[in-house]
Amino acid sequence: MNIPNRISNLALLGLLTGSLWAQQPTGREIMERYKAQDRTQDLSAEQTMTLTNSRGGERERRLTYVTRTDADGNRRMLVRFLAPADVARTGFLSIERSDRDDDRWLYLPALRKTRRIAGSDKTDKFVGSEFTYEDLDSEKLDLHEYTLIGSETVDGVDAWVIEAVATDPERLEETGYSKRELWISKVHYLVIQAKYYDGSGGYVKLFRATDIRQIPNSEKWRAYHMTMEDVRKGNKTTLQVLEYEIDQGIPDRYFSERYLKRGG
Amino acid sequence: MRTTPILLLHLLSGAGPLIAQAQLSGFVEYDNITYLKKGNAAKINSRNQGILQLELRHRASGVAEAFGSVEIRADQADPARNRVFLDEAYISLYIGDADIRVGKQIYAWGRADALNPTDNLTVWDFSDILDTDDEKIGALSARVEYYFGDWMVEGVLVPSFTASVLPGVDSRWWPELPATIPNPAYPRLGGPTLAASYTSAESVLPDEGVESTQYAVRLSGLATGWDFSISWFDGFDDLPAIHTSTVIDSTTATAEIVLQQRYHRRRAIGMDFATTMGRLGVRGEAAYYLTEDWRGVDPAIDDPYLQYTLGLDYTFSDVWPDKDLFVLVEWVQEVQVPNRNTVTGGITDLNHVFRKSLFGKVDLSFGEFTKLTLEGVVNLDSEDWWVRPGFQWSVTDGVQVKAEADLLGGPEDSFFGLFRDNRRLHLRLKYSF
Repeated sequence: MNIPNRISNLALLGLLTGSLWAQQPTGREIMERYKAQDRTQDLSAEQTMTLTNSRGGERERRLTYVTRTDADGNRRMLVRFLAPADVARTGFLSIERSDRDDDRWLYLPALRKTRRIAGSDKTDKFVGSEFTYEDLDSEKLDLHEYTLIGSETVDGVDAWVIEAVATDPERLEETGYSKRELWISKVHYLVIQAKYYDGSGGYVKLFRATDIRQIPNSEKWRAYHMTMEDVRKGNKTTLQVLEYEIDQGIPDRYFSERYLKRGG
Repeated sequence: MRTTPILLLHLLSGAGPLIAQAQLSGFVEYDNITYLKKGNAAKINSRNQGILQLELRHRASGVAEAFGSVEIRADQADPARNRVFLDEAYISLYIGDADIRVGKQIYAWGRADALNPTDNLTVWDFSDILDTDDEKIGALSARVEYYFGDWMVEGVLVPSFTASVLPGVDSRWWPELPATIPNPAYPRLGGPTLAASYTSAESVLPDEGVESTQYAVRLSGLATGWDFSISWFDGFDDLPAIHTSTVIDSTTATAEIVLQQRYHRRRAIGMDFATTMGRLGVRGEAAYYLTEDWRGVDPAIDDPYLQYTLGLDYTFSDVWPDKDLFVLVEWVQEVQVPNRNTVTGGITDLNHVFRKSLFGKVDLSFGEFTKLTLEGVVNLDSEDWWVRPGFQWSVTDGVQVKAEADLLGGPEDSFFGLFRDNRRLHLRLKYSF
């Protein structure tokens, strides 16, 4: 091999690697594809929620939830408990607002009353689970910086690894996390694993999503089995989705006191 | 005859799917109340009861639903409390923007927590004053709710009158009547008194028929983070006014007093609101009662008055790791309008227990299933009080244990002071299914 040839080959290799690197999407681009895959006008699901404490004690709840996202990205959510009997028919309604505090109501069937309740901190636990309200928020891309930090296979699914850090000052105030690491499936563009780090950088929670299926009559993918584990305390919440339905044209008026107290 | 069984079989086979669609739920409950101070032997001095509550709900389609609830109660300590009682039985129709419900049903108007001045449609079982759990009594009535945008207008018609249940004479909540009364011939205090004897005349209830019809309307709305309503009630006071007639025998220095319970018409203009500011909940409620004695000439009947309540609540998250603290305070006041400087109601008049009162409630939750509770009220004008410390534990899904103590105190001529010997412990085990 003569020198000019070597130079030419090296140049070719350089061009190829440059082109390959250029094909690597950025963290933001991956999250935009994730967001597009995640976005639905409305979604309803029935699921069981199993709360497991560090001693192995279990409590199971069955619930339905219905969400609808408006053009501004604000979400309306109505959650109804179906079991156990002592919480059955209890309902929770929340309406996200851009310009003020979210509206939230709780329907208490024993009192036959709907009660407006104060907003929770984003770091508060949702109905006693290991999920916080922040964990349930839809991903707000403009409030975070996303950096692609690698590629890994989790349970046989090839995934991008993204580091998400809040950049918006208001979000920085309310978040309970210094950073999150998100494993985004390269096939489904779903979060299949996430690690959460507290304000001092300590690893606190692990989220995992498995049993990924395409929702019938749609192009959307969803996980039917999810866990959120507090890795310090050993408590775990498991969500097993029985059924998803999306884009059924659920109107805004469904997310009202009228339907909240009707009890499903 | 073979026709009947075959017909029955046919009917049952048809009914099978319907029964299968119905949801049966309810609870079994055991209650024990032990008073800390032994009372008069003629009184019921404990409670030892079991309750079976059965609820059946059937949704025929998206537009119709039927619900029935029956309570079966057996009290070993007080057989007079044994009962099989229809709590609710109604049919709901959801037609377009209107929801219609007809039958025996319980209403819960008002957004305040401690006291609801606008909640005038439902009567209560006051046989145990401190038993505030599920003691509402359904009213046979028709209700229509019409929704438009963030607004709802509601109309309720109650064709017949039902009175609230009051404590019986053998109850520890039945006030002892004074053995002597001041002699009207000696208007100054300290004069000789008369020995009093009492008889009860038959209660006077509202006339049956159209005259006893009650109705209420309410307009509710939601705007920029505020829930609010205005309401109008035209009906009867569910609690009686006590009318007395006294015959004095000066020679024997005795007075024979005839007591008669009469139920009077009253109307109420009401309003309420609820909002939140961050983690702070703010709610208020008021009703102005237009009583029968508008001119203030009959001392047995309430003069018109305003009752209002204003409350704040706040939840402190993670005060200790995984422990939340909920704090609620609510101010209740009664104001005579116009002010005639007359006293509205006696000290045992349940309409007027809270004239200048501060309610409070604190819950310390240890996760989802265990909490310590503390609630109570202090009446600032009469200086009496009631406090209830408690403990709740959800043993497993559907099974709850509750232990509470009721502590009361105050001067003898105040409501809670009068019943200060009714300090007690209450244990409850409940299984919901």
